[in-house]
Amino acid sequence: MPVADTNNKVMRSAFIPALEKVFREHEECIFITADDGAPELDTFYQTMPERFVQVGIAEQQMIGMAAGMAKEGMRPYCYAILTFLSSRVHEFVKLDIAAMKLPVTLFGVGTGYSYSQMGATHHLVEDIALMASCPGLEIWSPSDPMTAAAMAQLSYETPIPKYIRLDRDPLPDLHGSLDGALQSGIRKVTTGPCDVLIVTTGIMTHQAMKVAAALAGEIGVGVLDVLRIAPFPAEELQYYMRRYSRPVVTLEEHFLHGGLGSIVASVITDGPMSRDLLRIGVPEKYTFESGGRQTIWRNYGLDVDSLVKRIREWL
Amino acid sequence: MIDVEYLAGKALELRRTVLAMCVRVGAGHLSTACSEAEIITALYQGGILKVDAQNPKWPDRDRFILSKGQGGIGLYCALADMGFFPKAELDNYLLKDGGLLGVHSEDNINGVEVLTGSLGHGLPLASGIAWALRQQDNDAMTVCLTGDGELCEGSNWEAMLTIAHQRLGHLVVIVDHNGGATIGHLDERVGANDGPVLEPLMDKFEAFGFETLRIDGHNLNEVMTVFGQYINRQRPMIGRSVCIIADTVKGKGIKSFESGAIFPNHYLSLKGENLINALNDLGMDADEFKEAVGASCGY
Repeated sequence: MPVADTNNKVMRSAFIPALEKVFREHEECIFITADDGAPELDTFYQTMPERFVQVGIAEQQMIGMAAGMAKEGMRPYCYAILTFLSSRVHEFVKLDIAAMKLPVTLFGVGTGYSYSQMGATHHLVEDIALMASCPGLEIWSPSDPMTAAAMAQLSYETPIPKYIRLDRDPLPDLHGSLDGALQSGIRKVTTGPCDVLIVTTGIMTHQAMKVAAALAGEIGVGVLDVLRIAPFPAEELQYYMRRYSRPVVTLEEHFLHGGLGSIVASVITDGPMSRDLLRIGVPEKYTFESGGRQTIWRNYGLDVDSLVKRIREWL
Repeated sequence: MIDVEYLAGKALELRRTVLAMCVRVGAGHLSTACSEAEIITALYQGGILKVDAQNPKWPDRDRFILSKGQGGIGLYCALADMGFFPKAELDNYLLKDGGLLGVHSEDNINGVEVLTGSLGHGLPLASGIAWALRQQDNDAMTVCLTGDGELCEGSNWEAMLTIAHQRLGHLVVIVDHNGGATIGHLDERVGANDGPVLEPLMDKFEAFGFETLRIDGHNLNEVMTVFGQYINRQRPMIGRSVCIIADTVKGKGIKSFESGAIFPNHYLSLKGENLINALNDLGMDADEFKEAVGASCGY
């Protein structure tokens, strides 16, 4: 793995050092920031200043400039708070990067209610819907610091437009090793009996694991961690659905409309297998209540107790 | 030595070709192409841009970014004339089967660098191209043609901040300043459909760090002289970027557009009597034109 000791770090602290290693090996990599920083970035711009571009709080410029650089053979990485890298600049991503198929990687921190205290301006519960609407744009969704670091390495290997969504909370490493998980795009992170499959991604994978622990002995919960949301690994999901032949729950910190649950519903509807499906996400509203992420989760039934109750009742 | 007569002939040919392309399909940005005709002609047939039609991806080529993607129809004429693709492609403009050329310029066309048509994208793209070229010690010029109406898009001003900060000396912005927006006139306050006011435009570019000049965008002598001086690799690669505001007339060459008798809506083709008048303006024979273009002439 590219970086050791990622456990309990924030994803960014694992991702950026791994990316720095890529940059040291490949001088066509260029870092563009829209005035977003990180402690790990300091050495980056101090030691590679000629490959570090600060455009200021100007995300349209960041995306357009990156596309221009990529047209000339460079491999730009764009960094901003995630909502400003997706919903704020969607059309620039669509036309300058996805439509021209340019190898630009967008990455930032702020999935779901990561910036819980900062309110609706910084919450991001629609990025999957937006970014999955751009054909050819890969969406990567790490669930722990180690997978985030691995995605930094992977991002260089294929010259394809990418969007990498990092969470803001420190998280334990879930995946002992990744062997092939990034290639397949989905990984089962539980062992044992499986009476229901929870398909989830990012920080919600940790919630699903807690649900599995709480229901152990009563209901066997299998947790599938989706690491690549687009292109969605439909065949891999079908493999698990066939293998376990059980009801499916999707769990995400995202609107149901256009999110992971929608994608899984499409796979089931359009595919050969029929399954009972429960989709759990966030309500279709903007959130102004303070109190932090745990409070928001409790209000919206995404805390472990509510999830356990809801899944138990549904089954 | 600038052969103004030769270039004027090429600009006239561009207008005539664009008119035929638009009338054939009853669509296309005729008035837009007319305002940019001398600019495009100078850049291509005037030899300002160092490009190679036989080798469109030549690494040392100057990069031309048509930010006003609607002007694609005019650019296509110049590219075909230069040999980037067969002139016969122009006859297929917007036609259902086998057409390469769409309303807005796309980067799958030989000689077109980037996809444009949504406005306010060209300058950010150009900044990245110019930055990358300099990073690779390539002294090629990056030339971006914007409309004036599209300067209302904030992304242009975002780009200008970075262009000035990065001191991209080999980047030149040309503004096709024809004063026409889609439904009204920029820089006027006559009707509620007018605006917004862009002037003083030179001061704005100057304030954003550009060395700014203003020219008559239809005077080929002036266009060639200023382009030759500023779209020039001898200028420092680290230095002030250049903005050339080319004052133009939307629909130039077609009198009913110029006078305002017909509002030069940028997506308006012509037919019937209006078309016959335009053919007269451009010195074209109406019968020959109808034979070449077909029934859509409407006369």
